[in-house]
Amino acid sequence: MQSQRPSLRRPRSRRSIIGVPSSQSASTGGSTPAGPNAPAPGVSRRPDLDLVLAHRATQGFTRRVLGEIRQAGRTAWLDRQLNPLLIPDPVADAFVAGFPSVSMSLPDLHANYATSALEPCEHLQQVCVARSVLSERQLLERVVEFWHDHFNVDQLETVRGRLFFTSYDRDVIRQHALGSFEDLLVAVAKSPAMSAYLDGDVNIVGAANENFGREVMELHTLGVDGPYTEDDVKEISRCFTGWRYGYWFEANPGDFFFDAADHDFGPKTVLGTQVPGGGGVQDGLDMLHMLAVHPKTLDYVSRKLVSWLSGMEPPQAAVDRVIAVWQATGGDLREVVREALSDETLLLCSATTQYKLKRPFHFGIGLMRQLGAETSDEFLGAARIFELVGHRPYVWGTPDGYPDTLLAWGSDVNGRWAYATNLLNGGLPGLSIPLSALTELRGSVPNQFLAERLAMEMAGGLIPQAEVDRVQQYIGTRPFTDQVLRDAAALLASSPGYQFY
Amino acid sequence: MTRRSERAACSEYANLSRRGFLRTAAAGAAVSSAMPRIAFSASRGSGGGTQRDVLINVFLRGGMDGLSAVVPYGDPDYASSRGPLAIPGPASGNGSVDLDGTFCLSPSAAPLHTPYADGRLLVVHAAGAPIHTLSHFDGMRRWETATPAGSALPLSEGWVSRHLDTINPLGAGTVRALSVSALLPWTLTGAPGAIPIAVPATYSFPGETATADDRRQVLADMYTPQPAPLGPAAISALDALDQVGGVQFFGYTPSNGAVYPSGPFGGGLRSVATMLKAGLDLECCVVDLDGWDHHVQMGPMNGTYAGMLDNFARSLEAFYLDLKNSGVRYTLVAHSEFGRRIAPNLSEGCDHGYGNAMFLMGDGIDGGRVLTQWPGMDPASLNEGDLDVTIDYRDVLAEVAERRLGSADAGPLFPGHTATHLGVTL
Repeated sequence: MQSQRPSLRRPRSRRSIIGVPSSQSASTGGSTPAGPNAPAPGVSRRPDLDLVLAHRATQGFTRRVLGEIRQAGRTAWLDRQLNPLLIPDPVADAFVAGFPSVSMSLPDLHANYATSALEPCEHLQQVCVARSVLSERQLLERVVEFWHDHFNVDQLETVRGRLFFTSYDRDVIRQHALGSFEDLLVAVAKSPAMSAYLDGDVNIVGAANENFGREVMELHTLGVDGPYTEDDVKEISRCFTGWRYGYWFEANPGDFFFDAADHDFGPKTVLGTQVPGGGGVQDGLDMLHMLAVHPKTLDYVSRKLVSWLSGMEPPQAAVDRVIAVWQATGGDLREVVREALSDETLLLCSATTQYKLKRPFHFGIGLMRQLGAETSDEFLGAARIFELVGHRPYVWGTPDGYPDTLLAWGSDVNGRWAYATNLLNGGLPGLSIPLSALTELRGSVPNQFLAERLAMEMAGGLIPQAEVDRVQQYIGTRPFTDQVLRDAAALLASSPGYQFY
Repeated sequence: MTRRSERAACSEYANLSRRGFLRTAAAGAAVSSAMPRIAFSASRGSGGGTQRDVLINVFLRGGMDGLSAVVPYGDPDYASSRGPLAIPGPASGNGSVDLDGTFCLSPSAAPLHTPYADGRLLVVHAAGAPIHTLSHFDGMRRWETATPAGSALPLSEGWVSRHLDTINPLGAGTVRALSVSALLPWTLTGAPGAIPIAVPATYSFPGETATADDRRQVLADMYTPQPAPLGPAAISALDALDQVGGVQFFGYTPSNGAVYPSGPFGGGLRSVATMLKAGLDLECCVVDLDGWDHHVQMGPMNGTYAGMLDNFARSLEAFYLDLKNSGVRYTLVAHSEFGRRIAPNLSEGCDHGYGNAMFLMGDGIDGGRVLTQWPGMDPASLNEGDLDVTIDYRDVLAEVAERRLGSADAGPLFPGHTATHLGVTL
């Protein structure tokens, strides 16, 4: 469902990270940024691509990551991030090791949690928060989040599917996030989690269930305006009849299992392609291959990925660059992502791209990263509290995944104000921002430059000067206390400029 | 979209000046942020001047099986086609409540008989969308945006958004519609003055009270120049903090002995009733009830479905009793994106269907009856195995809009459709 296309008007007073010619912001007549980093009127400024990368290729900007990018150079930093298993990740690894369910096989999960399947579900939500906050493999987390939305499974939707989700995250999404798109697509289609979620396990000859057949074309590959008809939905669903997983009482529970007795062996026609009778499991595999290499799939998924990583409403030229790499590499997602974050693609996007609104999860994770949040409950409260802003991991109900649009997330600001303010004041369950972390952030800067300093630490210059000045004015009109320091950080996090990236 | 942006900009500045006025007025008084700064209008109270209902929209998401709520027990094909999931009629003594000799409320729906007996609850049966879609979210989105039949893509704004766009606000215009949820539903996407509030009873400005006014002012200064959606959203939020935040939710006693079921849905309707009785100038409230996708072990008599239906029916009954004789003018519309297939599947559930029941409630509803052009349930009358749709939901909503919500012309709300009034309203 990518048809949500709000007409984005450029926020008037936002400082540019990505090459907005300053004449444009000046011409709106709004409060033009007047800070030291503001470009001279009428002069187009080359985007700071290091800063772009630090915001768009991570789960939340930090000055440390920006420093790494500046030191290593974008190409080298990106290359390192694209080979995540080579990046030592001791802090996140240690956290994950505290949750044995995350690495359990399906039989072990069943043995331990058959009557308490919500436990491993919640473990995985905690691990999701922890990896996003703590992991050195930030780009991997960002790409994993994308694929979780693209191939959305609501973790809690079906009782029979809950235990499968741990494997879905680990063996399907993470396993293939930077691998081959076709492998990812096939792994999704064969996964018990998706099968239970979209009724693949009740899709049988004579009573084809069209749930998966529809979404594999509409959401996973071709896109909603793809060239398929209702007849194609019916026919492709017949191709997947008999695709199920081993039930708990069978051998190899949870593993993909083709049940020939439930398969429709008759001939089918999908998207004009004849599927001869008698094909069996190959029917579905042939369909997945056809969809994986279909030009509409390359266009739809590339555009969505560029929108996720590089900016909303990317120009065709940027999408075309990514499609070309997709074609040249046969859908090697590592190379596709590399191209989406290349200087050339980012520069093309900078011509038309608006700032992206942080989704609530990104907003909250970023704050935890920037402000040095500590958890007393292994991020249990942190995972749960995202419910209040509508963005708890893995529980979007419909198969289209959490949206990534200004329209969807732009109507609740007090939820963000409350999140930021409560986080800074110890009001979020299990989370705290130690005063020492804040004083370390501010360093030795005098009080009259406090807002500027905090804004740089939290957003790297993305918050417009007028907003920084307004927070500084708040600081300056009262006796300075530790609470004022917390208020300042909360106000900056609540500012319009901080909501974008 | 351009037109909308311009409109949003205009109301933005109108709101801004009003906001400024309130600020100025409040500044000298050193009012605590905990205290509401709004004098509620009496425009919807008894004897008020504006004759418009607030719309309460309940979306039963997931494909609610209306056939198991308002049971066509008199249809000769019902029992045989529903098989083991068929609900026996009132003569069985199972607690079903007869409505008209053809339809009955199933035992779990029985609380709906309270407003029904008062003539204030109308069931519109075999109703639905003009497109037979089997996709939940496509069906929901097309319903909520009232996207024309045959149109390739759903529209990007809700039908209520278009309604609010074409009518003057009841109050100041900053908080016109409220959804009890974390995100706005499509019904309200792009609507002026629409705000999602997941838990109205705890909606408040965060942080220390002593600095709240100053911090609010910082946010107001930063957000008011912002374009849509954040600028208008902030203006709505700042006013909602006064309006919703000024309502006494705790200790609220429902009227007429009404008892809301515990849980988010009953709690949501209770919050809505509380806000309306407090005089908030809301024009639309959305309270959704999710989870009706009963493919497996539906349990229409004693199982999962029955429990959910009981919650729904008791919540509506409580809302009805609570607002009875309160002077609050409302029309409640409850519906799902589609019904469920008549024949059960092999898992004792029902797959996605088509024609379904809609529920309308309020003092302006011509209720106490089942309005239907019943298509029949014999195989020849079915639409791909499903109960057919003989009443277009847009006809129902268009009449509600024109007769109860003050719309001069509901045509633009439902593009591509010429609506016919069916007499659902008084």
